[in-house]
Amino acid sequence: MTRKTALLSLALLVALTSFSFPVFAQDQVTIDFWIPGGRGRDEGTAAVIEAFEAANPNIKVELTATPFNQFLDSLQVAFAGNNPPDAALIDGVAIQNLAYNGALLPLEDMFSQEDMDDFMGDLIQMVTLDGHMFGAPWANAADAMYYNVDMFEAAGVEAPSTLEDGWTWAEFVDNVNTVRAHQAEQGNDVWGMMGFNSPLQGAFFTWTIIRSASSPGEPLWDTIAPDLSTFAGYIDTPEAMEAYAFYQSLYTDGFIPTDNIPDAFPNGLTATFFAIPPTGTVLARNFPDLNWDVMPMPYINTPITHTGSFAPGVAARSDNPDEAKAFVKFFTSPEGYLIYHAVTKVVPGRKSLQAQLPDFQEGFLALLFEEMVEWGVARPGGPAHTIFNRIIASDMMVNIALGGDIEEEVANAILEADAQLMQFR
Amino acid sequence: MPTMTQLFSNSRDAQRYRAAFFLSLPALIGLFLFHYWPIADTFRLSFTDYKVFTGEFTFTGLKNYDIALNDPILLLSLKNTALFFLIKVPLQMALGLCLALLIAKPGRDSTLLRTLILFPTVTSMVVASIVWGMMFHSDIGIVNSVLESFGIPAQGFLRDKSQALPVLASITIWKDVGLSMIFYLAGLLAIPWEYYEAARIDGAGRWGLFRHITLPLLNRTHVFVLVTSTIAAFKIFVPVEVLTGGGPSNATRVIVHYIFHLAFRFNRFSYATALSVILALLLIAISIFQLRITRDGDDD
Repeated sequence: MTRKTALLSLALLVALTSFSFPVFAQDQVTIDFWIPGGRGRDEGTAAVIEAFEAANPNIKVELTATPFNQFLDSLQVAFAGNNPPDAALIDGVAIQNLAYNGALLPLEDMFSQEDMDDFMGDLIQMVTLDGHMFGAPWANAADAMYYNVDMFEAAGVEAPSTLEDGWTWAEFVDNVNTVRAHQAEQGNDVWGMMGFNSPLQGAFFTWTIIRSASSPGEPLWDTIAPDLSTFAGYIDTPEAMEAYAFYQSLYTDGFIPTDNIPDAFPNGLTATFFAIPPTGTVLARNFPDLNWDVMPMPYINTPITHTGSFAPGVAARSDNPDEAKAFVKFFTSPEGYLIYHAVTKVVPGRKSLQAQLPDFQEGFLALLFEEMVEWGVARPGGPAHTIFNRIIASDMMVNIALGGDIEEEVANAILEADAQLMQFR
Repeated sequence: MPTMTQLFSNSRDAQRYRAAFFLSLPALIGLFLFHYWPIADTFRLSFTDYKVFTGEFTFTGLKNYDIALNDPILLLSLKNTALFFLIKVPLQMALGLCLALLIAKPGRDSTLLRTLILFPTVTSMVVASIVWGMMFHSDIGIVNSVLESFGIPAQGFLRDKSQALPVLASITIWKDVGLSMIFYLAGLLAIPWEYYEAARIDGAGRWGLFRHITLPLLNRTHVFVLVTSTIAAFKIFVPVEVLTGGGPSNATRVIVHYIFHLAFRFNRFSYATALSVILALLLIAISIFQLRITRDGDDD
């Protein structure tokens, strides 16, 4: 090859690449989508991505699944390193905090009025901060009170099957104690209730009981001052103190054990099991002979179930926000949800989808779906949810369950949590 | 210390210095990148308000230090850390010295005993914490079973506000006493045997030998064990995170655990770095104080 030919070849190569790369860049945009892996989320999301890419050949979605327990930490590191994913499937209760810290883009312009009317109200509440939606409602979950049908029938106790017939906590304890007394006559010593963890921890479980002692608009219902300045005057009201005393009695009276007992419910060691909707699927798969059902969540004064699940959000520092939004819109659309649901079952966050899903038209899922629509409330705390959840709904409630002095525990928890609220001042 | 001219000359010494410099360069780079630079950056961050999700820094001067002055949980965690130190360090030092004296007896093959005592030191703290947690379990733990077999009522241990911190201290003493023993053993073996023989001829008894020869000549070892054990006690974290999470009712909330939670649970990185700086200064001050009083004793 002569020098002239070589120079010409080089010039041609430069010309070709300079024309072809911008065209490629305009045609194909790659966005990163991070999810917490496990429980079939990887497979379900991959199916949605495949359908989205087929409909949008100019957008490629790179899926990254991180183990659930490390997901939020990984996301935090990515944000801190100025390299966040374009979009992520985030635990709903973390969205307001991320939004407060400027990490997410508002998404309300993506949704029509029809969409807004279709979303379960508690999910809109979960992702909304200062009037803007920073996540797209997608799936939902709720508290679920499972009971052993055989034990209840043997004792002649009929559990409620509709929301209208739901028991208060006092009625629940009385009826379950009747079941326990009958079991004791047969020589079986059974617990009244087993928690998802024992002692119960987290707002999803503990605060459902405590909050139900109040009504919407009351301080205990709000849980925290609107300006996020304090928990004092909100979690230490007279009705809250009464609710804590009742909660403590569940443990001190031996109704709930103070330690986890693996598989206590399927092994007939407890009459009821306070858990979440996917527990039913696990029970049906692993213990096909167990005769169980779900009753409406008991309450003290106001029926309530705490709800919330993952919701996708778009990073404020995304290089491709429009493409990321387009993907999130598809992912959370009825079409996207149904593709996901065909692979991995989750409770839909849209009311209209119940009509298209036979699973949610009868049985325990139908009751839970109705409960979410009628009684569902987002967990409290807003951007300060993590502080509330750790210090009050977990640590304080564990200490109370283990027999701690209620007034002292509440006072200490307020002192500690209020010190952390300084970051919002 | 060689001068620059000497370093770049062709002499044999200069060649050796250059070789030493280049051989230690990778380690120096590692030290700078992973030790000194993070320390310097921590100091810088403590004067800012750092938003981890947006990467924004705002200079806030001494605000984080001002918050620390009025933080009730910081005060509580410092109190708990001091209490933990007071329980752990004297006991660990006394036990380490006793074990070293037991092993250092002449004519005794102590290999097995030494291995047994050192075994916990090489065990993972997480694993040890989990196993001890099961043993100290208030309902199904073996410790309560043993107590009950002697007619002693079951204890709350890690679930009891007054017992949780001493239980954690006992677990860490079990873990760390082997290391203290090794340092004391080295100190004991360095004491010339003739001193004991001369004292015996002068009529000194066992207690006299220990009080007037062993203890004074171990002074430097005491200082070393005291300073390293103190720093370790103030940095206690793993058993707290694994066994109690700082509870019950903040009874085991210690300073490093509090800093960790501020940074990684509540995203208060700047405030957490300010507390890290305070902890570092506190440890430096305590170490200087300990060195000074023990050196004064040495001079006497």
